[in-house]
Amino acid sequence: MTSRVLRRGGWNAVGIVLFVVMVFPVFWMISTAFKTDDQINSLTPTWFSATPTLRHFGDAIHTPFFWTDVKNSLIIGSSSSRSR
Amino acid sequence: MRVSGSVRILVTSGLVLVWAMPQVVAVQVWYWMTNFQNGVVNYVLTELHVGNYFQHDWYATTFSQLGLVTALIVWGALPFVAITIYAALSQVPGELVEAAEIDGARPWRVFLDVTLPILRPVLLILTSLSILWDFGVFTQPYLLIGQAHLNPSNYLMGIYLFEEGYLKADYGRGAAISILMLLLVAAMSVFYVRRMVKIGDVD
Repeated sequence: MTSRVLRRGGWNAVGIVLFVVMVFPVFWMISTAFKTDDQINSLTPTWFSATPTLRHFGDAIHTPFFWTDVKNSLIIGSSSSRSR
Repeated sequence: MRVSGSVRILVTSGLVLVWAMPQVVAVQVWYWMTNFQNGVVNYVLTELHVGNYFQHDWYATTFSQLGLVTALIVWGALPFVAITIYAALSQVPGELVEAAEIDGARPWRVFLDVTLPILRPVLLILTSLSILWDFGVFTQPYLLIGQAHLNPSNYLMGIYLFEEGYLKADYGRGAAISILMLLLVAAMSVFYVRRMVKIGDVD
């Protein structure tokens, strides 16, 4: 029974390592979005910003063509369905 | 089946997140992560004592450039493959595995003689689809290696085609490259397609 528990623990560890490696780019995208420019360009990476900012979201949305682009993507996306 | 339910849900949702990431977004994030000055990959590898990767330039050699592109494509393709195989595995009848175990088959033999034959059609489809999709891959290498570093020694077929048929507007050569690509893909997948047709005959 103990060896079974140990084996399950081993596979769980493999699963968690796989999860961390696979998800890291997704996490990095999210974490970067909330960092200040200084934190992004720093030589020592910041994992979670202590001073999260929404400025980048504001910048992204407040371009004159943002909603046109959203509309275009929605039209194309809803008229075709591709998995990749 | 071998991991706890919570770990399974964690890994599956992680894979779906990766799957949901658009290609351009994925390339951009990978590009930040592998930046030679403040890329987090260099930092983590150095901190984990894998070696001294301080200001290591991943885009310096063709080998390293193509290695990165390979890693990116495998990372992006893994969720679909893993989730499909997982779904196929859950279709393996438990009674068959149990019967083989009662007959004294060791786990490895159960896998080879019971699980694998049931998985075979799915594996064949996955292999041929992966060849079809990834042979003509363009977005990832073109954006990740980038205009600055692209040169004929690190072209893939898709980039060569883009360069000749699109940028140089050489329609004749573009058409010829397209047909050659098609023939190569067909030649590579013919083996798998034949196997699939054979499996279909048996059923």
